[in-house]
Amino acid sequence: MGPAARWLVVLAVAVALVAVPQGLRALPVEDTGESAADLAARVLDADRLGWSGEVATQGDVEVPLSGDTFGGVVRILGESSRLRVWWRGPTQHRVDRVRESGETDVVRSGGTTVRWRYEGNRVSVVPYSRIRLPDDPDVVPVALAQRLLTGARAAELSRLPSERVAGRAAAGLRLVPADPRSTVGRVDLWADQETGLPLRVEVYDGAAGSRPVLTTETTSVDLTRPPRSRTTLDLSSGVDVSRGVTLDDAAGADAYAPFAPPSEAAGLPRRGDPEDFGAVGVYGRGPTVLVAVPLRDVVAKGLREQLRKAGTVRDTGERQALEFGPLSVLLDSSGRGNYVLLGTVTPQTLVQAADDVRAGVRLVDPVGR
Amino acid sequence: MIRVELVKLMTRPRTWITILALNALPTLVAVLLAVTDLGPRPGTGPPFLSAVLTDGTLFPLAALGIVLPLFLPVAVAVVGGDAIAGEVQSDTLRYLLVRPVSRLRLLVAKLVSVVVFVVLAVLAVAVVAYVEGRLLLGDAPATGVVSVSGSTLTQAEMTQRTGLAFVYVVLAMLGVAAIALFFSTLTDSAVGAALGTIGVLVASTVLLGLDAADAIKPYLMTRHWLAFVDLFRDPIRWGDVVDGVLTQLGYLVVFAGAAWANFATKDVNR
Repeated sequence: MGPAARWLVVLAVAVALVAVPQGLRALPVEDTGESAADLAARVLDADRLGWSGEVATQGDVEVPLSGDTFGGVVRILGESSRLRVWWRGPTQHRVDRVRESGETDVVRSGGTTVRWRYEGNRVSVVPYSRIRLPDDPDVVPVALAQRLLTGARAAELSRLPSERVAGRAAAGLRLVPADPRSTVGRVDLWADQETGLPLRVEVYDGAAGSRPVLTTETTSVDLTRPPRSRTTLDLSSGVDVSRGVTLDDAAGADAYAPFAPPSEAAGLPRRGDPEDFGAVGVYGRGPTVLVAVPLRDVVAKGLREQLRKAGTVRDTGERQALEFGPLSVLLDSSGRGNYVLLGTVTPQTLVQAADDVRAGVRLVDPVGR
Repeated sequence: MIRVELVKLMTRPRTWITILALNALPTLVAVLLAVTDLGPRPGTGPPFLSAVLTDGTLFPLAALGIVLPLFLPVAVAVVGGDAIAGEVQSDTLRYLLVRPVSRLRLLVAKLVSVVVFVVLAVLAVAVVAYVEGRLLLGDAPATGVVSVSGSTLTQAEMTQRTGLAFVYVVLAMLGVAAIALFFSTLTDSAVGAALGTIGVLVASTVLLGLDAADAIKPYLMTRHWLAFVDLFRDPIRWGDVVDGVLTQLGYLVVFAGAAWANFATKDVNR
């Protein structure tokens, strides 16, 4: 074999090694012709499906805050993560955020949430609360898609061409919120053609630009229901265990504050059963949503200091307002007590909501609520 | 031919000095941890380093995490870069080639020699780190070693997974060895071949941090190097480990092939 032939062989091998995987990924997908409304209905129903796999999330927002003040918000919107998921249903799943230096595992089992953090050698066990700041399980495509599509109207939905995601044929769906108060420009998602399981979700803010502010994509998927043993943590007896009542300040506010928020704020109706949400008000539908959380003075003080460190904060003394990506934040101490409001709505909507919540809040017996 | 190369490897002082130097940084880290009792903040630092203060038996894995991103590949680049170019520099390649041995067999012998060096280096780092961990850092908890996912690993599981981790680290260096060997056939300068290899490593590391390079990241040589941590999760996360091995085999096939393509008819002037 001559020199030229030898180099040709090497070149051919190199090209084949690169091209074969790319070619498999680029195989065309035939669209099923399903309507947007039907696909959305299947997506909303998909959280009952059992599956396991890996998810890559990428937040593309420059977040001017640090620390754990907003729970997982800063990490989800500003960083990338790799998640291992075992999903038996909306109340039975395990989501591990894996890092080269360790991992953080969150297990939801009925009414209990267990969180394990390797680097701290610590596990915390708390009752599950519907009122809490976003965490890793909330950005798993099936959970995020359901949150964003809930309340969507047919006129806001349209179909996108099908694509191949995690090796599966996936049907595309677009949601463009009609509400002018929303800071979410659009949501694109792709769901498994066969089962309706969302495999990729892209959230875009209202600003012009082609990059999503948040992408969450399943990179590998096994559509068989994992056994119950996979959605539990088999923890060593050598780890520290702490038991608490709340996972974060939002849940703490719900547990202790004797307030009932009004049924409407900034023209957005209160969402969900008031019995579930207690002192915290959740308003809006789909991606146009805000929450109003009463805060104790000590928590508000820490949050205020955090917000004031951000260069872009607007501070009137009684109110601190900040926006990053599609998220607006307002800490309001203008009356009795403190409220933090945050949501994917315009800053003006948040100010109006703060006024409405203060005007409409009722004092209730926290035990008899 | 392989035996000759292995004898040459073992009798060279440079081999042992390099291995000694590889152990310097983990030793310094162990001493600093023991003196200050300060581990890295959660989520930062090399893998397992946050756990060694409570369980010193994990220090061999932490030491591998310390040397793997830079020091070990640099050592492999130096040894691999010297394989052919070093013979040219010392005017011995002509004498090697007049022996009744094909150039392909010589290349294979050189590659095997580099891989044996990697095995020796990894074993030395592990053994030294184990001794340091037992002497300077925390005792293993009586309840057993805690996996990254919080479960208990039995001694048998720990031994098995540690063995797999060492095999993985050796395999992770295959690509570096092949690239260094290829550069070594291109130039008459061993230093030049080593620097070229290090340049490829640096480029790979830089591209890994670049969003615009997302499409090529799965093919980058350094992409899966630290995936040996996944062997200590429960259940084991095989995806990146398998991808890492396949990536290294790909680099091995292409660059060892390129070394063969170039060296088979290379003119030897010295």
